[in-house]
Order: sequence, then structure tokens, then C-alpha cells
Amino acid sequence: MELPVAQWTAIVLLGAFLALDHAAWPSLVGAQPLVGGLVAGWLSGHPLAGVAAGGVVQMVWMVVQPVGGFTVPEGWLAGVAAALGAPADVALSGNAWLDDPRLAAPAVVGILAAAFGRWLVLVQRAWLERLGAGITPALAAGEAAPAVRLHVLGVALHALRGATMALVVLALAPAASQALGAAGVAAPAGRIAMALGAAALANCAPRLHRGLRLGLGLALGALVAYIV
Amino acid sequence: MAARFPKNLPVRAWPLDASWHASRQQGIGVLVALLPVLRRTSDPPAAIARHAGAFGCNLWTAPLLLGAMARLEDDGRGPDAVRLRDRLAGPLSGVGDVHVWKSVRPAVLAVALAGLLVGHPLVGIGVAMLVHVLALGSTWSRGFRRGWALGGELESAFARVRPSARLDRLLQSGLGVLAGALAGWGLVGAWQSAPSSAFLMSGALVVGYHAARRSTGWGVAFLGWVLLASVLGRFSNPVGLP
Repeated sequence: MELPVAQWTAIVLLGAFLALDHAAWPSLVGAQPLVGGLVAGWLSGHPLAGVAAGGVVQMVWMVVQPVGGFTVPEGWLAGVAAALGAPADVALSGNAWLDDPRLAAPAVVGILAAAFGRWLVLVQRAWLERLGAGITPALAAGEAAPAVRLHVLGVALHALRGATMALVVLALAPAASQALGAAGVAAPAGRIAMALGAAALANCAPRLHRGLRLGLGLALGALVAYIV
Repeated sequence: MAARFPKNLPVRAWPLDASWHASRQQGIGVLVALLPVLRRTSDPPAAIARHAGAFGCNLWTAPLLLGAMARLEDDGRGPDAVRLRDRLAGPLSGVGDVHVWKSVRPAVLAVALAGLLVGHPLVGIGVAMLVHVLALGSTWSRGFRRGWALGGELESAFARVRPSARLDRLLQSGLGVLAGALAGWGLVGAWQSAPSSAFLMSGALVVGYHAARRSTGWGVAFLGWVLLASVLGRFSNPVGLP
């Protein structure tokens, strides 16, 4: 992708920040695909395409929960990769982007990038675990310095991983999206993602009367769509 | 002398998950956060060794426990701090997970998405971030001082200081209706643009509903459905049935 050095730098710094937001501290929502897509799209000169591509991935990502020690795929990376691979002329008006088949390939690239990012987080955490086992005797003896060093290393590794992955998707995502598109990956990705997002939200509702809530919402949504 | 709240505790606890790993989880982060308090105890090496174990809690409700543990250490009740950690980390994490991951977070993301669907993504994202910071940021930032004030009483005050279960139920019920509305609106729109899209979307809705049981299921379901639609698209016109 032909971008000025300033934009490359900004996207790499964005990657470092979003990786920290994703895995190191209480997330500020920045690490969500929609936000990642918007910012990456804006930095690469097509914010509307970026937010539409990020929106497709976001709907798939509505209720991804890092609970019980589960390491979730890196949603921000999915949003950034999808935004960088999206065609620049995607239109938001009239929700045409929901049926735009050209967004399928960037979204697929984004989701694969997120899965790769998750694998890197797991590798990083496994390494930290080995280092953590090594400092156990020092901690038992009451020395805190090794723990501080390990913690600082964790922060640095998250930032480094984010910056590196941002560079990788900058270099590869547009070409990968084009290749997938040329191979025939074209589908109303927005509609499919919307169905998955609705299913995810439905599962948040309490089990009791869940069907009633869903049915009521379905009727309401259909009515609004007909009227509008 | 009155106990003095360690003002750097929130700053030190901010990257709590940075050194997360399976055996200690946030243990190293907790040790680093509590370090200034542990160093002013009567026996710092023993205090450091006490907090070198595992710690696993929801990031937004952990401050309550960290504040209380810091207070107990400051009062010279180190073993009580460890007991409190062992007893409350699990329950606090449980209520925090429901509050954050099943209620507030999906609700603010739904707001952001609604902004995009009505053509104002910046407004949607801005409102979502603001609500998120107000709702969860305040839970996080107030937690330290509330925990510090309660100290060993945190356990008996648990029902009072935990995130509101009523608010969670309300948000979850709203999300159930919203899910239906999103699906209904999307299905009608899909039918109007191309009936085959409506069939695809209905199938994805059913598959997605069942994929919800696995956190990795979403990406796989999406990839599978896009692949299926791409293959079907080669054998059909864009308006007819796949």
C-alpha cells in the first residue's frame, strides 16, 4: 500500500496502543474492530470504507468474552486489516455496504489476522510463564525486582507485538484481500455478519422468555424496515 | 495514625493484565501494584512472598479487592489480605464478567453499531465510548478507594458494592429485544435487495445462535458462511434462490 511515512508510523503506533488496550489494561473500547477499522481507514485515506469494513467484523465480534482465562482473537487487528484491504469507494448511505460483496474478502483477511494475533498472544504468554517460573525462588525470598522486570517486559512485548502486526497487515492485507476477491470470495458479508451479531446479542438475554423477547424484537425490526 | 491511601495504586494497577500467564494469571501485576504498600510493612520480604501467588479477577472489579488488600497490608494484617484475596477473587470476577461482558460491553457496542447503521458512525462510536467510560471507568476508578475504606469488611459488604444485578438484567433483556430487532430489520432489508441474501442470513442466524456457546465459534461461523455464499454465488443469479 502506497502511504506516506507519517501514515505508516501512525498506523504502527496505533497498533502498539490497541494491542495494549486489547491485552494489558481495562479496554477503552479502542481495541474493538469498529474503532480499529475507523482509525485505520482514516489514516489510510478512506475512513468510510474503513468503518464499513470494521463494522462487518464488529458484528461478528459482538460478544467475544475473555472470561475463564480464555484468550480472545485480536479484534482490533481484524478491524485494521479489513479496513486496509477494503475498496476505497464503499458507500455508507442506504446501508449499501451490508450487501457489498467486495467487503467479504477484507473481512475474511481480518478474521484470519485476528486468529494469528491470538496465536502470538498465546506464544507470548507461554514465554512469560516460563520466565515467571524462573523467578519463583527470588519471589519466595522476598525480592520484588524480578517481578517488576517481568511486568515491564509484558507491557513492552504487547506494544511490540501490536506494532509488528500493524506493519504486517499494512504490507499484506490489501494484497491478500485482492487475491481472495480474485479467487471468488464475494458474498453479502454485512448481512451474514449482522445475523451472527444478532445471534450473539440474543444469547446475552436471560434464558427465561428469551424467545418472547426475540420474537417481539423481530416483529419490531421488520415493521421499522417496512415503514422506512 | 490514620491509614493513608496509596495514591499511586490505580496507576500501578492500570496494566494489571500485562504479564498475565496461565499459572499466575494477574499475580505479577497485583504484586507490582501493591509493592509500595508492601514495602512499608514491618516485614517487606515476607509481604512480597505472600503476594507472589496466582490472582485471577475481572479487570473492572479487581480494584475493589486490590484496595481492600492494600488496606489490610497497611494495617499489618497481611495474612487476612491473602485470605480475602482467596475468598473474594472468584465471586468478584463472576459478577464482573456478567456485568462487563454480558451486559455493559454488548450494550455500548450495540450503540456504536446503531450509529453506523443509521449513517453516523462517529456519533455512535463517540456515545459508546462515553457511556463505556462513565459506566465501567467509574466502577474501576472508584473501586480502589471503596475497597480501601472497607478493608476486611469488603466480604460482608459484597452485596452492596458489587455491580448492580438489576441493571445487568435490564440491559440483558434489552439486548434480547435489540437482537430480534436487528435480525428482523436486516432480514427485511436482505429480502428487498436479494431474496437469496435473506435465506443466507436466516441460516447464519440459526448457526450463530448455536455458535454462541464457543467464543471462537463466531469467526469460524462467519468464514464458513462467506465461503458457502461465495460458492453458491457461482451457480446462481444474484436475485434468485441459491
